[in-house]
Amino acid sequence: MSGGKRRNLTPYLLILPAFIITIGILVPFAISAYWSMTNYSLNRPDFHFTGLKNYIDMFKSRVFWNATLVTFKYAISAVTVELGLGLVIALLLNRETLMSKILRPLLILPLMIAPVIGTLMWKLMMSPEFGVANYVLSFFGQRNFPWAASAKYAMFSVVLVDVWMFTPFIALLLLAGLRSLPVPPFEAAKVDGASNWFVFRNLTLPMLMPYIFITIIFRLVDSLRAFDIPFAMTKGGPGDILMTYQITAFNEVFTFLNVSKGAAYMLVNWVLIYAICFVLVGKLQKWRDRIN
Amino acid sequence: MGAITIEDLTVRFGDRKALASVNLQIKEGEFFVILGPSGAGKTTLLKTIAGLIPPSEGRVLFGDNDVTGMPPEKRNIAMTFEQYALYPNYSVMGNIAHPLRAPGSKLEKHKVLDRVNKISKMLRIDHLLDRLPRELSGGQKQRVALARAMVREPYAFLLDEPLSHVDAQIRQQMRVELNRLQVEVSNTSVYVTHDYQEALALGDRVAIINSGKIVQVGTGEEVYYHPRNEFVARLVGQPQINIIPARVFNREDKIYLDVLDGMMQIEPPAGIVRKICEQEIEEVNVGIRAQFITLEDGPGREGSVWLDGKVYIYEPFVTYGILTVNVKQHQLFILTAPDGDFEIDRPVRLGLEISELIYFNSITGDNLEGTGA
Repeated sequence: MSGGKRRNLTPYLLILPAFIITIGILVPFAISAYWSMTNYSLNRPDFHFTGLKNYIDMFKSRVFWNATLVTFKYAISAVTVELGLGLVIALLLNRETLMSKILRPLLILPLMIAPVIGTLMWKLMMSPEFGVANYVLSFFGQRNFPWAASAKYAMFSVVLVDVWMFTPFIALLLLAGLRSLPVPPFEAAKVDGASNWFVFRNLTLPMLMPYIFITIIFRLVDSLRAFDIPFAMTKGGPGDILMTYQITAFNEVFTFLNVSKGAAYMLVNWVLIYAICFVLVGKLQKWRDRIN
Repeated sequence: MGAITIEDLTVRFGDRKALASVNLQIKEGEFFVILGPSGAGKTTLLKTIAGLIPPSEGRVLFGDNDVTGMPPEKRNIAMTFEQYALYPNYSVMGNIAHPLRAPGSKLEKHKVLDRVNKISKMLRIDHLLDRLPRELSGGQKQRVALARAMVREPYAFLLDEPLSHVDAQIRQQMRVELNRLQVEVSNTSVYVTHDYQEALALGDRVAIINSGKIVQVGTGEEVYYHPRNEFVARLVGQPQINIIPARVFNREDKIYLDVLDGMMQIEPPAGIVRKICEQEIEEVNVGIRAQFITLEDGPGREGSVWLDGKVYIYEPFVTYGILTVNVKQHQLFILTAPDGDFEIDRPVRLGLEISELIYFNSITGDNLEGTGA
């Protein structure tokens, strides 16, 4: 190959990654957006454009509003608990004690396990007949706690698994944030004789805020897409108690073979996540400006 | 308000000694400056006085009180930090008042307000009290940090490079204010800086620190005119002191110095000659400040010796000029009038004021004049 030809090829090689991203992400996205406006179903030989019919049907259906409620309940309760616990753990691990030195590397252990595997482990532990969870509860006079099998405790059970799995992630991020905070304000507070509460409330927390927002963004986006943990636990049941957007969409496509409806769910899910991220990133920037 | 004594203070970070057997006596009401290059241990010393860094060895005494093991909040000291260290979500008012509202302080509300108002007027930030730190300029932030320190009546002020992050104009103005405040408040202050001008302008006395060791303690004049060694001589003064090597030789039982391989011969004063003989020194570094070198037309004046060189570059600074001259492989700085006109490579003759020469042992770097500590 001559030098001239090689040079002609370089620009195309350079845009190749962008090109792959375009066909790998944008094309499927556009196609599914289009499908959501058709009556595409694997049951039918062909399909045609139906406009916003899928969306109108969806917004009118009880299933959609149940999925919305379930998804937000799951995401908000999981992220709130994880953030609170994660912050406490990060603050404790930020101290230079022997205990925190030992515990810091152990923190990432739950993150090493695939969420589905983790959930199946918990499912075993929560088994009413031979689960270790009920065995432990039996010492406190609680017998046959139903866990995810009951409509009342199903949400609690999956959130518990989510908390177990992702609290370390939040703790890790916040610990990294804590360790990167500037030292002088804390020294100034020490010299001034400030109380621990003052230091936490007025120095640690505001300066940590950008990190807290980043963890919220990560975790909220992740849990608004919740699928693996509730699916592995109960496949969305009992009834529709754990039917998140993604599980509902999954059922539409893979159980009822209704591709267009599933695509509509996914698109709504995407719009919500995008909008929430947009707001949170704006807030994050505000906090950053405030600190600097 | 009072004296601070530092005895044999050593601070180790791992294997590294940040401070090595530091001894200092800071008098009551004194404005004491610690001057040194970055990494010398200045801030470590200040933080050890504050109680933020525990010493590995040695003691810190406030008056007769040993405070070595005392936590910072019990020491009743006020400190400012290089990066201001303001509380980001407190207003200027809240920042300044904070030390008075801290758990240990029991001051009535209106008294707190009075104090904050008085101090903020003094530092001319009284119109900023409602602002948040992020709405302030660097100079204003620094003044708030100072106000937060001064609002208390501490045993001593510890000031860590308070002027290093403000621009030149404000620095000059703040220096004036600090000087003025020192006269008004007359509190014991320990001030850390790497800027020799600040040190000389503010300090009643200056301690020069290098690699964790105190090199010299003295008034500004002492460290400028009688530096203990070459390090101090180079640290203090702008442009930097000229240092040229010289070889000791003996002619007819008299000691002379041969500067730059025969370029110039000097007869050092008797005291220096004695030191040279006692220590059997063979090589001496001769120092001379830029303002004691003059440009000569003919042979030098009485009491001066001369060197011939070529102009390297001339820098006019409006009110003065700095001429850099190459003499053999050495570069000398000369302070001149601002209107100089020097062509590059033009030959010039430099007259050195012989009474202003400083002689250093070329191996140890010590001043042969043998200054006091």
